[in-house]
Amino acid sequence: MKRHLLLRLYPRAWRERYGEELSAQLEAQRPLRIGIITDLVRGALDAHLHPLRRDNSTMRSSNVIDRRMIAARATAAWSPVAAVAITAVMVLMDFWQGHIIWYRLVGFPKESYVVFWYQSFADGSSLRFFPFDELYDLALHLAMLAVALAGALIFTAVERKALRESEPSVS
Amino acid sequence: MTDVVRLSTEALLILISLADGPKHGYAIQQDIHVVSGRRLGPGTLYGAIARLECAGLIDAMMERGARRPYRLTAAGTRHLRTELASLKDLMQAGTRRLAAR
Repeated sequence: MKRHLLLRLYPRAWRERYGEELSAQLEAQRPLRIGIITDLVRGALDAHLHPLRRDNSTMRSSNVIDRRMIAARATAAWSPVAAVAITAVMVLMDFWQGHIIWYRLVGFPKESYVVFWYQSFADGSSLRFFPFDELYDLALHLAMLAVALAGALIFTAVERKALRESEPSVS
Repeated sequence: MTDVVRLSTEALLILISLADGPKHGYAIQQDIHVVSGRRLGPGTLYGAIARLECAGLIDAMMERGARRPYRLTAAGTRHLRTELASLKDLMQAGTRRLAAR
């Protein structure tokens, strides 16, 4: 694995401050063994969890602040993921609960008809329908999924931008 | 404001390594290996260096560079003395208790 890829795991401010030294150290320790790679990954995680601070706060007090920040960040970061996951499950349930019917089998969608996902026909073609009331559910759930996905993407873009702008320059 | 800093083993080893003079990262790593038999990984080493520097216990002697030497600050020296005295007390207590068995 390339050194610079491993260094990219670290926050930008951390790389600006220690990246050159760490890279030189890795150069001296070639080849990169799995133990060193694991150590670097763990170090990068630690660097993200404990951002560089150049104030008079002690390690103890900064750790308390870090724990709160980590909890807040984790909640904020996982909320859109949870929204996408929940709505995706709802859409999948729409399918898996048996609302799919084969037009050629029944001729017209029946609300209570339960069929299989797949069935072979002589010409190999098939059509899938949802009964109208289930179709509304599906449309609603798909719309929720789209909104959740859009929200997650917007959140990710905003957070990445905020992180880039907020990382202190320590050069 | 460094009175309540609690050092990890790695951070203590780095302070001990710097006690006899400034060293850069690789030299610190080698010195710790000689003194304690432990070989700190580069991620662990620089994580501890970053914390010590942020806590004001060590500082870099150069603004930039691939081999930037670090040295103990006055606060770092005081802190190391305190930690070593504490470890000495702990060792003596343990030795006394073992002797009493």
